[in-house]
Amino acid sequence: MTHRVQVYWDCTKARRSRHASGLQRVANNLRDALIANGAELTPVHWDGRQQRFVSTRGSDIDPAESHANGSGIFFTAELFSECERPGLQSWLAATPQRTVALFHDAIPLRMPEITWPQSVQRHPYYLEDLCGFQLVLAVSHQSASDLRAFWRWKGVSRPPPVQVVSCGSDFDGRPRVLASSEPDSDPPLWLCTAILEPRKNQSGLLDACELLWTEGHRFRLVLAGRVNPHYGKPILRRIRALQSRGFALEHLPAPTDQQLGPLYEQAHLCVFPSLAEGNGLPVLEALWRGVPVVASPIPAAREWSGGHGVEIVDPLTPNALAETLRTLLSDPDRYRTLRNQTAKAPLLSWNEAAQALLELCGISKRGSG
Amino acid sequence: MLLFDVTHTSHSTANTGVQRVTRELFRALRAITPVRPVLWDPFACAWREPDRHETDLLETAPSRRPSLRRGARWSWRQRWRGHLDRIRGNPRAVRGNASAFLTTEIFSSTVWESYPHLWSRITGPRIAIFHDAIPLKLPYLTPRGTVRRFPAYLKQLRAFDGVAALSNASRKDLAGYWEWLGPEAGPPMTTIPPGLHLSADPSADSAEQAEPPRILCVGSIEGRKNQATLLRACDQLWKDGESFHLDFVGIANRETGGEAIQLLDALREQGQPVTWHGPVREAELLRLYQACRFTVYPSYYEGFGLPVWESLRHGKPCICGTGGALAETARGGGCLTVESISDPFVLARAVRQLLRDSERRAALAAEARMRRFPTWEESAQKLLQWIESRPTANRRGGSGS
Repeated sequence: MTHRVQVYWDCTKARRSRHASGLQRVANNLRDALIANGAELTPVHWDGRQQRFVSTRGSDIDPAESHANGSGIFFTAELFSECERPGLQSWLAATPQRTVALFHDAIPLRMPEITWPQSVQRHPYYLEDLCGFQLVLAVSHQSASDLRAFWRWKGVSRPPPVQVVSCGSDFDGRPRVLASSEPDSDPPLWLCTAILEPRKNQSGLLDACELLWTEGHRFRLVLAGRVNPHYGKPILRRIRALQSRGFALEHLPAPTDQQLGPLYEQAHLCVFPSLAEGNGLPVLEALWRGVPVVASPIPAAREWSGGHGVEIVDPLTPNALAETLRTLLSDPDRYRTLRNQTAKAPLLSWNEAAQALLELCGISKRGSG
Repeated sequence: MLLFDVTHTSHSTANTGVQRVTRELFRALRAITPVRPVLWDPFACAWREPDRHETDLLETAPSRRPSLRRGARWSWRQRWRGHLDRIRGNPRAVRGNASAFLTTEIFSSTVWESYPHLWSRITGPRIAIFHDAIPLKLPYLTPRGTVRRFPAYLKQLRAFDGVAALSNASRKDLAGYWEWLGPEAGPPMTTIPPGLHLSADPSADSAEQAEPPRILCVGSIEGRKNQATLLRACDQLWKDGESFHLDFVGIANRETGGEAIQLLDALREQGQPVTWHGPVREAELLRLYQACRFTVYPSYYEGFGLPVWESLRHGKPCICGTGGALAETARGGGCLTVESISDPFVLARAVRQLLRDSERRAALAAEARMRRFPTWEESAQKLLQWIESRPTANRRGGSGS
């Protein structure tokens, strides 16, 4: 006899967050897909006073006490540390549930100069605390490799296994676009979905686009994403300066999935010149909607760059980015080929990603493993 | 002319590892080559030479009563003068070119951002001394502010023309971190161990005759130095009837050393023979070394572990762990190394052994006296030769890497 798998879902930060960051989007999509796959999901949050996770719904559920047979999973996709949650390591060691953490990236250590200082400070603790889990699921092979190598460097003697769980690509419930005709938006619309901050390299994109606009090329650029309150303001000022010069440039702050859907329908191209990513969800989401992508060599783009609708560019060279964009503007055949290739990318839905996650956790669909 | 960054040390009365290396290398290098100390004045927004007070702090701190504060402090007068300098166009700012640059400090992000101002005047290599990567290896045993600074600091070291690590273990740690960061090659590295003073006189003590025997532990009271385990071990030994006095020397880091300080206070209240002297002058430290039969350095992990060498230089055996560079520092004799340094029972066994076994103690002391340690002058000479052999190739800019 099988029973529904119990998942205790850490929403300590998510329940207070107003933003749909990449981390949050991955977590929300996985959560919804796990429920759709039959998981019995209980949202829990860290109670600092009791030094344990408690049910967010108010019922008297403690993952450390219920399901003492250990058939459930405690899952977190959040960033945390023992400093922020004193007692966490003891709780992890004591709970009978299988403890699983989703690891996004080590970017705060790799690029501290463009990361919020609090995130830089948290990350060394976070990477150490991940060792307290029984299983770590990384969002890409690159992330998994980074984490394993960091633990090796630290001299962690018995690290937990790190597996890769592929991210889904659907984001608003709509089916995949496999045979899309070119959008009729005129001038062509280029879309860049990312928070405005130096790591996402909108500055490089704006440099490239300014060059093309100055050369007389016609296209409309939409930057969709909230402004990083610490590092994003200079980019916003640059956008306003370019707008005041009459260039076809828009900023859509904090778009919802419902707002993004129509944008993808109109978009000729998605441009994602980020300097570093754990994976690169916007690349997957664009390909799902049949929109070709020009991106830096982030993990998601590298994975799909061989004939799957993605052109890789050097993000640090605006001229190289401009050259690729110029070619796609002026060479309709090449653009069409790239657009048609998007249908060949073997993308996963979040539903499939959730099934893969349960299997990695040793639990088959609708049953315990 | 070598420009020597003394920004932090010229404003700190502390004399822990980084400041010791800065002060001793500055003194020793100045004796063999033209050296100009420079510091970043955040109020003047300029690099300048130290004033009289700053020079005094740089040169005489070891003989003063050390401060309980670790950080740098700027007096109101210095701040006011800095503002005035800026208004007047910085008449004290560093002028002219220099043939090399050296920093021995863990420079702050502010200092890093100011390096381009100074480095534009450096015609030769820019060299950094590297202490350790402990804040990333052991974040929970490190003050949080240091943990926050370190990822950028380790990355910024790649912009130098050469990095001299204090130990092979530290060098390996930094090279490994750079490798993890990515394919961009780091600058050449070398190992230059710190030196020791010759003031120690192993023959001039009567610790073997003194009763009860004294055991000394030198080092900042902090989580990583693991004094808490030593205190637990000694508590057990006292309860078992062993008779000895335990002396601690070192500044307190209350953020990570709270557990050890609480234990220390509790044991003192119980009347156990333990004394925490705080930070002490050099002369007082010398007296405490002479008075002890052996030392214990229970640190989990070190970039070098200078107190181990200091103990041996005084002819005193040292019980120490093997984390980081400690195995390398202890190699050569005089030490009783303990692999499981976090286990109070294991540490208590080692302490008991050296307390009871006078032959073992004498053998280790003989080994210690046989060892040859570099002087600061020799370390400075080795460093200078390495600096002079560096090509000026790594011109990747001053900040933002």
